[in-house]
Amino acid sequence: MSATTPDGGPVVGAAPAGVEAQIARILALGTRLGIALLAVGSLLLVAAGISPLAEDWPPLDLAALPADLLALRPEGFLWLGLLVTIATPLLRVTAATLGFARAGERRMVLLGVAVLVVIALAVVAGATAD
Amino acid sequence: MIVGLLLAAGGFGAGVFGSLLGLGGGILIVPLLTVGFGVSFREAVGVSLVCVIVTSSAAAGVYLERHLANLRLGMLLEVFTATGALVGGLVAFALPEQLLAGLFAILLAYTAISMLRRGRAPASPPPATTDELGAADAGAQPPTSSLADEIAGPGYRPGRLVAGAGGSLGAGVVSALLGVGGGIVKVPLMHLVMGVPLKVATATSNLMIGVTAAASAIVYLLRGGIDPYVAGPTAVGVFVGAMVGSRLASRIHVDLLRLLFVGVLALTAVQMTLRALG
Repeated sequence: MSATTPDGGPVVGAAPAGVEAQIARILALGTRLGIALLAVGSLLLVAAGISPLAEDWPPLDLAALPADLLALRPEGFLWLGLLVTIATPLLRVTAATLGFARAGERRMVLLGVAVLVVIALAVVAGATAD
Repeated sequence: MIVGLLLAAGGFGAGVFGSLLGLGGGILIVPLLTVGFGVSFREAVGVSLVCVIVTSSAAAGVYLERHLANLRLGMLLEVFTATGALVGGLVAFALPEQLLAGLFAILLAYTAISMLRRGRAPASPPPATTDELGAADAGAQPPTSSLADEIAGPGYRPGRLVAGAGGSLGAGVVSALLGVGGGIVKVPLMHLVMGVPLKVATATSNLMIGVTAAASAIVYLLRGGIDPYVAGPTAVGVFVGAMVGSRLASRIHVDLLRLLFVGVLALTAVQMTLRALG
């Protein structure tokens, strides 16, 4: 079953029922969470008197992230906010792929998986390139 | 401390202008950071990609709920835009910054000319309905492809899928090299080449921008090309600015704003050219 227009008719080419609404929720929540973390990090940055352009930024260290968050260090909130922001569209692709899988639409599932494979390649390329 | 606030204020301005003029943030943020704050071009692109993801994610959900964005078409083309973005993200670290600045100057000039033409159009013809576009498109189409049927929307069936895939690959490369959403390539591609109605093309392009920018942002992030100290305040400013801009859109005389903005783009293009020339 697909989405319907306001007058109750089917939307041609629409995604399976509920998928678009679910994706919209993911995008809204992910964006707000990412921005909230970046806002907290920015406030801590200002409070700490750190000038963004004058200082070298701390590298991304996933292992140090929990400790940075607990210690209210700006870099912890900023890095987590950036990770959530970048991950949000990828969660959207994952949710859409699962939605199409539930509806048995194999071709759309393949497209979604192909996008996720490209993203995985980006992670590998980014982590290993000189 | 002051710099952090200035970055947020600059991002806010970029968000307001971008929202009012229907532009992605990248075309504004890269010049803001490079010319205004002296950030290196590559770092500005990394920050801009984050801001582009924020504005895309915030708007895409609304487009989907209103059934304006075509999720199926978006997922098909995303395979190619993401691939292009991955390649572009890797190439960006191999190219000299002066060359990238030169390419950005060309993009700025092209955008300024496009906006000027749009503003000067005396009486644009009424937009075609989706039925009209669908009928015109159907007449020019090769025999039905099942994939084209699967990604069809109400009253239209996207055609020239191979051209669409190739153009999307190019849009991904441009996005990753220059830190822009790539809508300036994708919207005409879907509308003029593939026969997708303009509103659907715009909304679907917006939906795709998040994934496209995320593919290259991952490369920038893992290669140390995103400065969290600059990205945080700028992205927050852009998000708030885009929200304010969308509320102001109906109250502001956009034509005057567009002309003013064309002047700003032209000046920025000159500054970028000077930077490219060293």
